[in-house]
This record gives sequence, structure tokens and C-alpha cells, in this order.
Amino acid sequence: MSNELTLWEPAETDIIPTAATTVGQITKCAVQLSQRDQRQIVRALEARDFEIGVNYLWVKAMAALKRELGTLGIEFLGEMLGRPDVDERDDVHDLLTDKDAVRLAEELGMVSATEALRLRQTQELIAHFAKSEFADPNNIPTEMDDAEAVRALRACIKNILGKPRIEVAHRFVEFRDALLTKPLSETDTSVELLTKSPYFFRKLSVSILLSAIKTATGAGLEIALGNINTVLPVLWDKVRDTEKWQVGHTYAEVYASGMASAMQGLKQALLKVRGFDYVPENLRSDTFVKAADAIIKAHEGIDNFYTELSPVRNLGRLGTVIPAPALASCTSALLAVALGNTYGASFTAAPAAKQLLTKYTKDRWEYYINQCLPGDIRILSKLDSLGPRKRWKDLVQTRQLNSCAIKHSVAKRLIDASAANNDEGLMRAQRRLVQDYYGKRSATTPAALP
Amino acid sequence: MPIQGNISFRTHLLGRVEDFVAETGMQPLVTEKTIAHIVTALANYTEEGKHLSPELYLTTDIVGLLRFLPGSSSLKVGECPVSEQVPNIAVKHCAPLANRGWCIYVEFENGIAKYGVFRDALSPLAIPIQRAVLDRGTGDLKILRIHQSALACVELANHKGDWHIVFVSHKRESEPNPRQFVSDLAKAICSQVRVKLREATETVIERILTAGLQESHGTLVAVSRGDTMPKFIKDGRFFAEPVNFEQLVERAASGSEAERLRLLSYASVLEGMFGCDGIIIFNRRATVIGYNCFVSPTARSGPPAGGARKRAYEVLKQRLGHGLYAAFMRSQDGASEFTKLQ
Repeated sequence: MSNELTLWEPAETDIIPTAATTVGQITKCAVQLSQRDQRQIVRALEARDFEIGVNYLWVKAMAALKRELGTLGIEFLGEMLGRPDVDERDDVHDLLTDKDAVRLAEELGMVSATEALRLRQTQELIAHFAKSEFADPNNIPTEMDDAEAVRALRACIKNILGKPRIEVAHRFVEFRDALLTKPLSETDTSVELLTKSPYFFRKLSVSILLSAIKTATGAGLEIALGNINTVLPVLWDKVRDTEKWQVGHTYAEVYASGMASAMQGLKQALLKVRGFDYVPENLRSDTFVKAADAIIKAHEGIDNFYTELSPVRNLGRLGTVIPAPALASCTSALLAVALGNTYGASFTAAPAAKQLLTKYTKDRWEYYINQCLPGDIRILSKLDSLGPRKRWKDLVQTRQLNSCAIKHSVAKRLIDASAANNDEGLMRAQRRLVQDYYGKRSATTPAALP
Repeated sequence: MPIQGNISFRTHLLGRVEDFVAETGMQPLVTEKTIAHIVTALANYTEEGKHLSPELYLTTDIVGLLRFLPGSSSLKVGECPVSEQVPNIAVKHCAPLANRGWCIYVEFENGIAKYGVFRDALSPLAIPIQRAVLDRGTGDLKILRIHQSALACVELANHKGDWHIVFVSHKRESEPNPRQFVSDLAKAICSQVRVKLREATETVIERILTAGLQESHGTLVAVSRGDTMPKFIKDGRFFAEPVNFEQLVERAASGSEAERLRLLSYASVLEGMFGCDGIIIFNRRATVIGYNCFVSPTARSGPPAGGARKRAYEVLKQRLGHGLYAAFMRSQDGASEFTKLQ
């Protein structure tokens, strides 16, 4: 492990030469696309069918990116996304939304922060033009222009389709190898470094180890179990309930699957930290996590304003009390729908989500704000946009969340500023939370308010 | 002068478990007298003429114990002031309920003892209770497990890893624990199962073997060296479609309820085979290839010694390396033998 933990950056390479300026020349750099695909994209863009061409390009780019992410292991990706219900049999394309894929690629150093921003903008552009309600009221169709199409083409080819293989950052591989191939002791500098590292790395370490415990065999499993027994006692007070539930869930899973060595190793680690309170009584919470995931998929997919309602209703039908292990996922999903995106919020799904949120008792909100919100990058990044920020402030004020007992000082500042309608204070607190999560570099927050 | 006087097994037992009781640290519920009472009660426990072998857990915190077993269930039956008699009362009230995975618990705190039954997750793949609870410590939780592992043989184990096997019979103290070879046998049966599924399959097979042996009056199990029935076994019930537990476990692990139930139902068929005469034959891929099988004595068997089961076991031992990989025998009184190809 290196001496300082900061988010990994990919090595910059010249994928698209400066001389390549036309659509044809740029598309030729997409080595992951067949000649036929390249021809089709060029034909569509040259015929000014920009939406068709860029959509096709995006589908291909996301498929390639998700395929690469899949090589890291589905269980690992599931742990990173807080989805303990997935396993290696799941399809990576079903597991990851496009937004998830871009976020993970950024977190694992497959694309730089700037390029990740460009990819997100491309996705938003595609989503925007796919929505019929944004057609001009005077029946003048709004269309993607050539500059937007070329920008999208460059972003997809430079970051994904132009690379024969999208390498995970070298230092991430080193980090993972250090956890999985070398027995660690409490006095190792790498363990000490981990305790002082940004939250993302603590969460990542727990995710990597839990994923290995579920999938590795033989010596690999022994090292992972040994290391979780070293790392967990050191990190336990420095991770939030979301990660603690993750450890407890993994114990329940390996116990129910008959994986005796994994169960015994995890049991030892949980006994050391007195963590058995975080072992779910049953795996019922998985149903709630799956329902929350369906909401996120709809929310981050095309035509989300129409597709969100059904999964929100499904979650509501599962029962009035969301089990504690699923509270983080469900709240994040409901807030995502309630806050909407830059273009607004669903007329039908947002009220339904808010209705479910009104059933939350004060202690549930306190739990979410103290334990989950500081690491809920999906919700924090929504506050960058004016619309979702306004809806967030409305929610905080209506639910009087500032009267909750909030122990997390920055989260308290965020809630207080929201309640006081203080945009500047809100954004300062939001930036601080993101920075605390990722470390020095803020991955999602632009420098100034939009 | 004639030698006269009563001899009681109780006196000997009280003396031998003194240290164990002190280490367990669960007085006043668990004393030497409690152990003596409960061991003699469980050694050959019958209720309404039916033989029962309940598993009994004495603990300081049943909720804490159940945390080791996600998906578990419990049912409180009664409570009374703590006394040495409580475990016996609990057994009397709960033993008929404690079957098919249910165990008896007695929890004591602040002078009150609560008792009832509990069970683990309803998953055939789940780690057996005693391993999930007692292996690798229990933290602050104090637990004593008492179980009749064979007729007239009672196993005591506590949270500190101390254990005793109490033979309430003529057996010598050097006799092995009747359960000692069960996990060796399970490992032999699963020795060629794919690495990824091996541990889970071993867990399932060990669970079935334990349940089957508990109900049987003696058993012979052989593990074929190859995938098929050894040629020297000609008499028996051979399956045209052998029951492959590796595949059943793989499907059950996929999470489908139907597949888990399928595994449970095949497990019940295998348990039934332990009630039949003859030898149960597995291969090393956790597949049952035949049961109710018989072997003829060979010239090398030597003069007959022991009963039919013991003689058959001697024949199997001679066949190790010549069609067989491992052989196991459990006699009616709980005596076990196991041998495998090195």
C-alpha cells in the first residue's frame, strides 16, 4: 500500500489523436467496436440522427464498461454498492445501473474525475432527449446538436471504447492484493494507515475482505479471514452501521450456506468487536434491499418519471416497518425518487415515496442522518442540482429533521442549513461530507453552486 | 468375611466432573449433582415407551445464543426458580418436543430459570447448532451442552471448549467418542467434491449422518474408491440413478426454496437408509450409489470374531485400496470404527 490513501487516478493515454476531428476519424479510434458498429454510428451521426447514434454508442460503451467491472467479481461489486443479496451468479448488466457503473469506474480509478463527469453529462443528455415531455410547447422539436453528439462520442471513446481493456488503477490492485495475499498484523503500517484514511477506503477494505470470504477457498480464504480478524477490531469504531450490517449479513449468509470455515472466522471477528447485534435475525431484509434496488434501477433508467411508481408501490407493500439492515438502501431509494433530478420529480412516484417517508419515526431519521447520509453519495450528489436541493430543503423543513438528535457534526450542519434555507451552508456541509468520504479530492461536487 | 456394600456410579461421576463444573461457571444451575442427574436421565431416555435423545443447552442468555444462529426460532415452555432440578424439569416437559432439529434450552438469570425449545435456521445447508454455537468461543456467553450421542453415552461440552464423554455402561474410558469419526466419514464421502462446494456438502452430509446414526441400531458405511459400485459388492439395492448430494447442494445454494426442500427430502431418504440392514455405499463425490448391501467373508477374513456387522466391517477393511476408499462402522452400543486409504 502507498503512504497516502487518495482516490486512484488512471494513467492518461492518448486514445484520440489531436488530428482526429471528424466523426469518422474519432470513431475509428473505438477499438472495442466492430467495423460494422463503427459504420453504423458514423452513418447515423453524419445523417444528423444524433440521438440514434449517441444512444447506440452509449449502450455499447456501458456494456463494455460493465463487462470490465464484472471481472472484479460480482460479490465485490455488490459489497461496494451495499447490495449483499447479490452473488456470482448474477449478471453484471442487471446488477449495475449506468450511473453505478460510472461511479464505480471513477472510484476504482478506471476513469478520471473529469472524464467521469463527462460520462455522466452524456448520460443525462441522452436521458433528457429521451423524455417526450421536454418537447417544445410550441411543437418545435428539441434536438441534440452536432457539438453535443461529438462531445458524447469523444467521452465514450476516450474513456471506454477506445481502450482495448479498461484497466483498473494499478494502485487499487495493489491495495486489494495487500488485503488478500499478505497476512496483516495490527502493528503493520498499512493497517495504521487504514484507520486514518478517508471513509471510502475503510468501506472498500471491509467490502474486499467480505467478498473474498464468500468466494475464496483454501489459502486465500484463510488470509482473508485472518485479515478481517485484524482489520475489523481496528476499524469497527470507525465504520458506520451500514458496513457493520454488511459484516453481520455476511455472517448470516455463510452460516446459512454451510461454509463452516468462513462462519467460524467471521464469528471470531464479530466476537472481538461484540458485533453480534448486527447479525440480522433472518434474511428478510434482502427482500427490502431488492425492492430498493428496483427503485434505483427505475430512477436511473430511461423514462424514470413513468417507471418509478411501480417499484415504489412494491416497497410500500412489503410492510410498514423496514428492517434495520435494509434501512440505508430503502431510504436512499425513496429519497432519490422524492428529490428527483435536474429535470424535476415524478408526479406520481415522488408523492408515493414521500408518503412512505412520512411513516418514518424520528429515531429512524436519526439513524439515517447519523449513520447513512454521510456515506450516501447518491443523495449527497443530488444536492448539487438546484431542483433536488430545493425538494430536499422542503423535506427537511416539512419533516422537521432539524429537531432530530444528530451526533454527526457535519450532517447536523447540513440539516440545520437546509432547515434555515441557507444554500451556501448546505453546500459547504455537503462538500465536506463528500470530501470526508473520498479523501482530498471531491469526486462529485463542482467548485461552485450551479 | 463376605464383601458387602452398594456401589454407585453417581459417586464416581460427581468426583470426575468437579473441575468441569467449576470451569463452566454456571452455578447454582449447574453443579456436580445437576450433571449427575441429567446424565443419568439422558443416557437412556424414554417417554411413553419411545426412545428420545434430546439436545439440551443450559445458558445464561438464550437471546445471545440465538444470535449465533440467524433465522432461528424459539418457543418458551415454562419458568421456575433456579434449582438443581430445573434441567430435569425442562427435559421432562420439553423432550417430546425436541425432535427434527429442535433442542431444549434452559436459561437462568437473577434466580429465575426459563426453559423451552429452539431450533436453527430451516436451511439444510446451515451449520449444525453445536458447531455454530460452541466452535471458536462464545464471548461472554456461558453455555453447557448435554446430549446423548449414542445409547448409554452422554456428551458434555461447554463454552470454553472443555468436554467429557460419559459412558453409562461397561465401556473403558479410552473408548473413542461415538461422534468422533462422523466428520472424518463426511470428509471421505466429499473428498472428490468440487472445492467450491466441498465444505457446504460436508456440512450437509455430516448433518445427515448424525441424524441417521442417532436413529439407527448400528450402521455400516463404505466409500467406493471410484464413482461406481465396487465390483466385489454384488448383493444389495443399487440405484440406477444415484442420489448426488453435490448437485443437490449446488442447486439448494442457488437460493431457490424448492431446491432446498428437494435437498431436505433426499436427506430424509438417506436417513431412512440407516434404518436398513447392510451397508450404505457412497462414492467420493457425495453420491449414494447403493444401500442394503452385503459382502461375503473372504478367505483372508480369518476366524469369525464379533457379530455380523463387525465381521462385515473386517471384510470392508481388507478391501481398502481394492475398490474401497473408506469404511465406517457404528455398533448398537455406540462403538465406532473408521478406516480410510492413506
